[in-house]
Amino acid sequence: MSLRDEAAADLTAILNDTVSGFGFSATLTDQSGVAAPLNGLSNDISQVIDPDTGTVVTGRNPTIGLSISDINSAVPALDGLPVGVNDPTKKPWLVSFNDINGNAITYKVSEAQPDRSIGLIMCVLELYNG
Amino acid sequence: MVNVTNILIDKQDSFEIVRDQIAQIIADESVNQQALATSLSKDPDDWKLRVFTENLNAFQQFAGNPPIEDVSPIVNVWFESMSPDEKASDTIERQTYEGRFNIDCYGYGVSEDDGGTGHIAGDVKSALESQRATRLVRNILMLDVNYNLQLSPLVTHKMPQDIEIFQPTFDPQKGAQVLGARLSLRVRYDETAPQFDYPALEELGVTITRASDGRVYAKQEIV
Repeated sequence: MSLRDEAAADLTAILNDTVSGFGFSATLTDQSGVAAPLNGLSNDISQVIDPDTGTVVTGRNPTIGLSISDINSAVPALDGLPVGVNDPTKKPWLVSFNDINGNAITYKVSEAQPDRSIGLIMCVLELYNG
Repeated sequence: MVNVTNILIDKQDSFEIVRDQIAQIIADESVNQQALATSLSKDPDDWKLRVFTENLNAFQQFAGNPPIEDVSPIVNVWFESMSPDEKASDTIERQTYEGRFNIDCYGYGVSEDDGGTGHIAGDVKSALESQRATRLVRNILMLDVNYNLQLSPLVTHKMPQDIEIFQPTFDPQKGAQVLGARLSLRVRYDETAPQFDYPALEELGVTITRASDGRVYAKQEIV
């Protein structure tokens, strides 16, 4: 096993470590509405930003990191890898996970940044109502 | 030993009156437009604006999880700068200034299911909402009744300077889609020294009434 294979295996193990690590359960829904449970590293944090209004303000930055191999082997099967969908005639990819208070929050995948060498896909999320 | 005055400086300066008057005009006319829309069987929410003054963190009101209780655009009126016109001023009694007042219009748009086969994109929605608010604000301020912001003779001239868009999504920051547009208004008005008593100008003071969250009430809302 090459170091790269080993790193990819470590990544999947880390993302799925929901017992002693930071892995957290989430649900990924593809554009056809198929939803599959996955584990990943999810965040929904506040972030100080400067929108050029004359003062810095607090924004919100939700993200999730998922294993590409987990997505490819998800049950039920998902249709490819998540992507940001801007076309309003199509459904977006959705991710839902709980916040620290146990509230389930649904997000739209706004941007997806796959790392195809190690098998990580980072999804930049935005709030979704529906 | 320097000389001091026995006059308590206890007044609103004109720039504060002008700022508050801009906010009050927008709040009042927004409510009036909603009533007009209702009378014409149109959705009054399309004319609803929430008006604040000097609220530089209006983004924060859209930071919660959807559904947000009130997603109508936020308008924040704030004073930026003023400079004297020395040729139209004297050094003791009265100075004429040109002030710059910014009216920031924030639109909110969270992505959501359209109930069919697609979805409503939050970025598009927030852009259209902020532009709708800016359109309303510009039209309200340019109404004939507001040619001098209803502050004659204090205000002698006003003119929109520019409209620009600012969006906070320069980084991967898309939790809530909020987009702002800024209408800058240049206003010409007089400031006076405190030792001169101008009863006519005193009557022009603006008293705005606010909700608990700081929103400026329209006069029609106060009972």
